Amino acid sequence: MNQDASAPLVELAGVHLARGGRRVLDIDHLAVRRGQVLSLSGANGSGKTSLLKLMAGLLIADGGTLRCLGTSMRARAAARFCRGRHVYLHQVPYLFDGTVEDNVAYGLKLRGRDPAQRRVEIRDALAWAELDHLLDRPARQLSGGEQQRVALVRARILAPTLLLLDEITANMDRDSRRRTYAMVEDLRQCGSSVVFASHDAEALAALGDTALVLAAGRLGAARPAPAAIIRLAGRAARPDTR
Amino acid sequence: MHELGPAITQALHLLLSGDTVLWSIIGVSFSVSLRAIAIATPLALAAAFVLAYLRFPGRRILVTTVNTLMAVPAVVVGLTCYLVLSSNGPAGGLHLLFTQWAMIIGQIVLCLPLLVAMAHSALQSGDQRAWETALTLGASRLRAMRTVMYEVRFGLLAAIIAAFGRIIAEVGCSMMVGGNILHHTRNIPTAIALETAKGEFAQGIALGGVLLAFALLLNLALGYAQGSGRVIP
Repeated sequence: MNQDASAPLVELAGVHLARGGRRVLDIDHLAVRRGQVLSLSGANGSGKTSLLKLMAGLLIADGGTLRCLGTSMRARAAARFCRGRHVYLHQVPYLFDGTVEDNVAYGLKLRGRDPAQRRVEIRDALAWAELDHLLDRPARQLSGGEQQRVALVRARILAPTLLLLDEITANMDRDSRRRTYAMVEDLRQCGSSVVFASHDAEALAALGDTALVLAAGRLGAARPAPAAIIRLAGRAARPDTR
Repeated sequence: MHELGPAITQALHLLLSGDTVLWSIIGVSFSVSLRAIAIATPLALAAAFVLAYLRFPGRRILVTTVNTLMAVPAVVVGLTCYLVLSSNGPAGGLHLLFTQWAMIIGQIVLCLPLLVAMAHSALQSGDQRAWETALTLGASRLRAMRTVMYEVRFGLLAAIIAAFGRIIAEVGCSMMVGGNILHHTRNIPTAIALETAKGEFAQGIALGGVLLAFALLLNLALGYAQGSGRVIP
């Protein structure tokens, strides 16, 4: 497959999806580019989760054009392409029965990483999230915030090209939210694109470059998110030292 | 009225003295039922997974059919297998009637609906997010299926134990298609039925005791596995 590195990671045009006989998504156009952080807001039932799962390859579009790295694909092929490259995180994360290490190792094992290298990578990734002291703890014993951060580490260690976060800060306390925002910002610095759905005004203001609003399955016009405006303003105010 | 005390003493003597007839019957029982459950389990788990996780027309009818088949009596399964395997039946050319393989086929038919229904129930009660999480982390559908099954392993183990309990204790089907031939197709339930009819209770009590002890062992093993899998703060 010819892949255009400058093309959007994923592009949806005229894509629609029905579930239970009801059309839940009707996307005229959406493109997610490398390094971009998109915030997605909308009322309950507006289709945020469906859109994220569609981009993760967990749902298959009923029709429309899907392009991955510039290549048009059938809906099923696009879903196969996206799975594993685009990682989706649930609002309440699912951690497998086992230790934190078992969970973080899951995707690495699938990719055939040898055990010694895997262990080093896992330790580094957990240290990044300030969770290295929990390595051998049963994952389901952790607090909600810790579980969400473990899920984020489990995704991050796979270096996904696109990370799809579904209201992941909804049940977190202030400190966990702050840590999570920092982790997402770090992921952006590492080159991952991020789309995150949230009701949380603080999250929307903290993270996004571009804000999208979804209403009844349709996307409104994209606009710069508050965080991007603040960043741009910061850059403009900073004296040029070059 | 029969005296229970001497019968129990004689039963213990039969068990502990290594009575060849008694242990041959026990051997046939476990050999047949273990082979039946070993063949039925992968088929049933795959079918249960398809019913629980894939959406296709007729799925609900299939689930209802499986649930209905659970209630079919062993003798009806035995009669059906007999008709199929008898010399005039469609599979008569295989000459399987009154062999252990006929008993195995009968027991597979008997336990499949129970296994599928219980495994389906265990998989449905599992968390759908396990499947999605495995897929999004890059697992193939087959690998994701293994992961989901591991997550609900205690429910699946309970299904296997219940199915094994059903076939090792059934008498109707084994009697009809096995023929109750000593050292060949006589298993614990058919032997108990025969000996009781003859008024010989000692062997029946000994064999019943073996079944009970085995059921206890299986349940202890399941309880232990569940306990060691549970996260204790």
